[in-house]
Amino acid sequence: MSDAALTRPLHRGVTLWGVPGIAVLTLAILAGVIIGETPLPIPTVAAALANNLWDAGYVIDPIDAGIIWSYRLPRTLVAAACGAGLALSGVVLQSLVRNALADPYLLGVSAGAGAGAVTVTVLGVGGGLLGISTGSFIGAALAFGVVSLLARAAGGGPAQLVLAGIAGSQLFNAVTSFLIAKSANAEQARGIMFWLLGNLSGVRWPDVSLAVPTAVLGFFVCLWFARAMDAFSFGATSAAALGIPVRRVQIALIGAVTLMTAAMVSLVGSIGFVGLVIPHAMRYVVGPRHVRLVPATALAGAVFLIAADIASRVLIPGQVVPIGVVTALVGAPGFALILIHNRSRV
Amino acid sequence: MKLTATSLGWRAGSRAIVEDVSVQIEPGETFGLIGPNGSGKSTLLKLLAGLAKRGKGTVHLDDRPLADLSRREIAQSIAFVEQIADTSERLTVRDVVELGRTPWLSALSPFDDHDRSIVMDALQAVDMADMVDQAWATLSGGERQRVQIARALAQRPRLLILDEPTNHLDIHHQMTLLQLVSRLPITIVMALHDLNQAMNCDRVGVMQSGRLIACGPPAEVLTPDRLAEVFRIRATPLFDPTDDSTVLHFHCL
Ligand SMILES: Nc1ncnc2c1ncn2[C@@H]1O[C@H](COP(=O)(O)OP(=O)(O)OP(=O)(O)O)[C@@H](O)[C@H]1O
Ligand SMILES: [Mg+2]
Repeated sequence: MSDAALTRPLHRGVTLWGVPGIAVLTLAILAGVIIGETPLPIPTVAAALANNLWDAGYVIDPIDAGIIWSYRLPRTLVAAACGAGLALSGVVLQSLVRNALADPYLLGVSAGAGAGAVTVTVLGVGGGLLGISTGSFIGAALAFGVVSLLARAAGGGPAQLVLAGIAGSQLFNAVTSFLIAKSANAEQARGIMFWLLGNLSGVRWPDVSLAVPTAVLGFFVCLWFARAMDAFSFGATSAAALGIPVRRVQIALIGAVTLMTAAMVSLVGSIGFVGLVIPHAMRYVVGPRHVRLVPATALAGAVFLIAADIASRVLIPGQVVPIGVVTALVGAPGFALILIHNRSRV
Repeated sequence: MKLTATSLGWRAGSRAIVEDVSVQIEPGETFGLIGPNGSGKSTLLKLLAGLAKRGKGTVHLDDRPLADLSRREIAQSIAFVEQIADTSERLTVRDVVELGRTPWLSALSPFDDHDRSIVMDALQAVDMADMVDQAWATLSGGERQRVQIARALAQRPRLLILDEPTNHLDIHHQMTLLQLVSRLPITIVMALHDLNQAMNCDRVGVMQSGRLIACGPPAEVLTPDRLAEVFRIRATPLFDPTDDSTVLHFHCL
């Protein structure tokens, strides 16, 4: 990609990259609706969508219509939003803490969000989608605070941050397990465990109305601060010297990350590796500048998680593999490649 | 641009790293800061640029307190080149120099041809124009230093603060850099280790244990007695008839 692409007037950049990007995303969403245990023919899918979007009135099997509109479409949209949100969270964290290994999962933010959500569910305070998301947000923010304080107290190096993240994850996962053991009944416990591994089975339209706006908002916050994230390349002091109001940018971006991670975890459980592997892959494709990296990562994250969701539905016939298991099966080797690559550069 | 610093101080725990430094930098002058390792030069430069957290004292830029300016306004006036700067991002030389335009860009004024030509001028000034596409990670120490200086030049500052800019540079690039910097019509404050380079500044300040113990024209400040006291060396001024200049020759005390 030439340098001109970065600096071309915005509207031309938007048409050049935005239109194909949205086309790819739309195709991925269609694939998510079409492919499944019972593959549905494209005309049926088109008819069902038309019926619901503008009352087209095609006659189709109501069961097919129900699968498409109430089950697969919301699920695919949430997968897209989660993939974009988690991948963007990875980009932001990697830029702010200048650590290739930063991502919401490794830094314990997902674990905190999970603990927050489980607290609300099990203790029955609040309840409902909004209550769970709020608990999740508080848990995520708390985890982020604990991990950053611990990393700083330990000396603030990159290794310390990763170790603090491990400690934080363990702590919040332990809180989750404790709460389940103490307060949940057997059925609740099974449900929570399955959800924690990452699971899109229960997703319905109300979840879409939380996931998609959160991802879109997060995307625009990241895009707005793209240049600021570039300025963090040489550290916070250097960013300040380049005119970046460091504190304010950090708060806005970390707020966006916490919000996205919390919303996604409260909906689908904790899904690892998306925030780690997708941004690194995209750095190879579009380079390190955030004006390109942010849109590319959002798109790739969305498409990746839709693909993982499809895989989770069709991998074992008659059974749904938790999506977190699928992303880990793909992500762990990807993570290994990042580690090896990082070594060769030192 | 005039810079007035009043009673600057900075502590690490209970230890005073910079203490009660007041200095006025005149518009257009080249001010050299010298002093032994750990005497507080880098810290003082950060304080002057408003980049040190929890600093004491005040800095005025042309009679406006630094504290009243936004980071962006400060960065449009002051560029700062750190002693050590590194990144793990896979940036190219061009990417790094383009960062210098950050304080001038916004959603409404994106990077355009004007910025592009400023970036190329800056790269040319430090003799790096033919390496624009090389990866930062693959540059030599001196090349990195020159790219950072180009980044600062691309910022088009009125005050340029450089922390040991000639560090890592070969002798040719040391001399061309100092020439370049002294020809710029802007104010320069730089920390230096080479006392002969400091001789070419308009004024020099001497740091010792966090205090600015002397400040003035090099010939008045860099006296053999003071150099003996601060650096524990004996300096002998020698006359070079090729350009009628005085150079210092050093011996350990
Ligand atoms: N954050 C910090 N915490 C503790 N000590 C610090 C901190 N920053 C600087 N110091 C100490 O302050 C002293 C002055 O540091 P500074 O970097 O300003 O020195 P300097 O004059 O630039 O030295 P050099 O010539 O080696 O670059 C050093 O002894 C350093 O160890
Ligand atoms: Mg220094």
